[in-house]
Amino acid sequence: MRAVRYFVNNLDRILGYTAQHVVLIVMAILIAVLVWVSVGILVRNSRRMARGVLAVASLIMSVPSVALYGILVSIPGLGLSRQSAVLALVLYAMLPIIRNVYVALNGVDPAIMEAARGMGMSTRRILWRVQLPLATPVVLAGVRVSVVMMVGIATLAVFIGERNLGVLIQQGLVRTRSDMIIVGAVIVSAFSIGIDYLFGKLERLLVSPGIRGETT
Amino acid sequence: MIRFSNVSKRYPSMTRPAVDGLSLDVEEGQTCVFVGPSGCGKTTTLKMINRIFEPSSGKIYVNGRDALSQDQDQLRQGIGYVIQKTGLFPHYTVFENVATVPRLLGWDEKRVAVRVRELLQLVGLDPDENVSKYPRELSGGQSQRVGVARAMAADPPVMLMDEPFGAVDPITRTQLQNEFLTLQQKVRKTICFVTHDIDEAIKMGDRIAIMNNGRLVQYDTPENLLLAPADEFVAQFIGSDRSLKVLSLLPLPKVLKRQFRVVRESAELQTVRASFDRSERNRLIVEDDHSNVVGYVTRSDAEKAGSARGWNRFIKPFPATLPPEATLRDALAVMLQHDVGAVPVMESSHTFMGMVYLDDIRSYVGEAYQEREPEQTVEAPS
Amino acid sequence: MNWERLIEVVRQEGMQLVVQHLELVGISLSIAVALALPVGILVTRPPFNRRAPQILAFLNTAQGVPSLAVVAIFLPVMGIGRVPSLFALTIYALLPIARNTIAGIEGVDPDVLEAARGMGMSAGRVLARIELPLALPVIVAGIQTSAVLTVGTATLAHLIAGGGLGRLIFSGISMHRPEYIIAGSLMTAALAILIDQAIGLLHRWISARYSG
Repeated sequence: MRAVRYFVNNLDRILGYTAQHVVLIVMAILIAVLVWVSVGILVRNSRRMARGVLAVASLIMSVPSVALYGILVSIPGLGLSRQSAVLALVLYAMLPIIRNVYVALNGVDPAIMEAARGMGMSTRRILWRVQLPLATPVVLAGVRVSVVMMVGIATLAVFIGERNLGVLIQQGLVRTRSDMIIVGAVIVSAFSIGIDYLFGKLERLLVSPGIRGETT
Repeated sequence: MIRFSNVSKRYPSMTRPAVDGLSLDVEEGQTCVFVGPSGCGKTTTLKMINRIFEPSSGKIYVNGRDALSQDQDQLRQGIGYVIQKTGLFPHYTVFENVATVPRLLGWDEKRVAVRVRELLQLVGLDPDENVSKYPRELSGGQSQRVGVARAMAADPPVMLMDEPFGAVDPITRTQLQNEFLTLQQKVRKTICFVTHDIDEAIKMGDRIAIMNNGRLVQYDTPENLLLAPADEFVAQFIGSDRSLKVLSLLPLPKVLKRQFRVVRESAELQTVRASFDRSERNRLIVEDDHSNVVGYVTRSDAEKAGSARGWNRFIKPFPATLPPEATLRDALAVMLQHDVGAVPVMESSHTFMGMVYLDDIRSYVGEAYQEREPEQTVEAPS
Repeated sequence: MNWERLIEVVRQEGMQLVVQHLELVGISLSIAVALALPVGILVTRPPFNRRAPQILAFLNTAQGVPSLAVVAIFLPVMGIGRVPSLFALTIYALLPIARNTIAGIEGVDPDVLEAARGMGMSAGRVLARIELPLALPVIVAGIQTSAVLTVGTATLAHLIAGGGLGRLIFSGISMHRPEYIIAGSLMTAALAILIDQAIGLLHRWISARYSG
């Protein structure tokens, strides 16, 4: 109950931390979607290139987040900055997004592709009108995994200068204040659940009713 | 309309060509069915027309123009394409699916809407009920109807159909085949059709191209194919029941006996006997005062009858009748089923047109074979 | 920063910290596997299997709790040191293994199971001969995920005086000594990648020996 009291008494600060958390993640996810979806589209027709890119991505994925932050802040020009934090999150999104884009674009039923070509649709038109719309649910699933991961990893960015929800936990740790730790942990977890819900909504918005509910 | 000129297709991984020196013409408004065992090259042949596969050598002309030197997408927009798995876009509604090619061609939306509704009606789907459905809400038969409508959307003169009815159950398949034949009567497209089912080929085709190992073995009308197969392979592929199959291609009028003596129900016994005296047949058709056929009377019954009108009780109804558009196969089936040697043909079920006799069918089919046999021996050495 | 000082750091403190780090990961991961596997299997048996989808959903949500929070949360009750560190790491490592064990077994084709039962195999035999072998790739993937996560989370053990490579990274950050950060980060990353690959190899070796 001390946690509730802490929450009520420090609402302003907590809201500020939450806003910082959201800003960091929104920046990272926008960049990640833009870059990694494009990379996925670029490598879609080359199995060799896709394999190479995915190997790099899974190597990055297995680098622990504290270590990745550490490596990035040691790079001259990045240092203890928001860039380092954003870049780390973007790098972690590489595997789930590229893999899902690649798999989904190549997973379109060959009969549908043949019908599209047979009707005289150009390669570009097939990509935009057929492949990408059909791939959307799987691509969204990849983005969703990335975002949920980012929410947790972002808390560790307090050690490289971010002032987000991780501050609550880190300060709780330093001052042995379980109320702060619990408030931090609960908000971050609620954040993840909220994002899951949001992506459900997003799917309704972006995915044709004709294929909705076939994945996830 | 479609011309193959010495077309071959070789794949690097295969020792023999998938299609080997194919030359063939499909005339405007005709349905040409490519048929043969799997791997014979029929599908490759079809897909070279819209350049899903590019020929290794040779020329293909569609509509008098060299297909290989045209812009690929433009060529395809002018050719309707129906495939076995329908390839409907699952994220598009029925409307959007059918509207695909018209929209590619830049039609205005009003014209697209009118055309889509017209097409759905043409393939037997209620537009109001179906335009906003998604493919996953359709049955197999409905999906294939939408597939056909989509292929015909921009009214292409040429249609390619790759086993279009292969994925539906037998009852739906028969129904779709019949509907398609009726539709083709109306629209008269030039159609190339691939199937592995010889019965479907015989039913759908004006011309049939039988292929084996990448080569065209015989290109002929269904009748000629059945009556005079070019070689042992064709004969085997058609099957040992080809004599039965040919019956379904031959129409009734060829064996119909039209001259027939008819008596009125109200006639006196004397008139009936007089009719028998002038005829060598043992039966007379009996009709009522409105010229509707009510049955027949036999010679022996007429002789048994005593009073002037008492013969009426010997009038027997026909156990079965045939419509004039029936085939010899239908006639034979009816005869076997009812154990009779003759069946009357009736227009709209009461206007008598003539009789079909078992003996006539037998001799007609025999003649048809004899007529074609010599051709076969002439062609054999080539 | 220069390379000599980097090598110096690795030589002086690195090896000892790597050993500490490996101990943390090895012990907590072993306990986690020993606990999560049977629990995961139990969840897929009646009567618990009716609740399997909900349990999976709960585990997925629990995975969203940040690692930092898990390490921190036991501090007020358990204090600092190795034991609280191992406890937190084990709890965190349980989740992916349990989740994948359940998902893997639940994902076995029901037709295959029906065929196995139809041939008269006992429930235990079906589990040992059909379900576990077919679910193995998913279970191993869970252990891999868990191992990589634990290597990373173990850096946080430093914050509660549990030792490990986190010490180099965190003191590097607070003292602005990049060579400490680099040394700690690279060794942690290398450790994670090596363990990931090793489990992958082990899996391939096992499935090559026991299948077909």
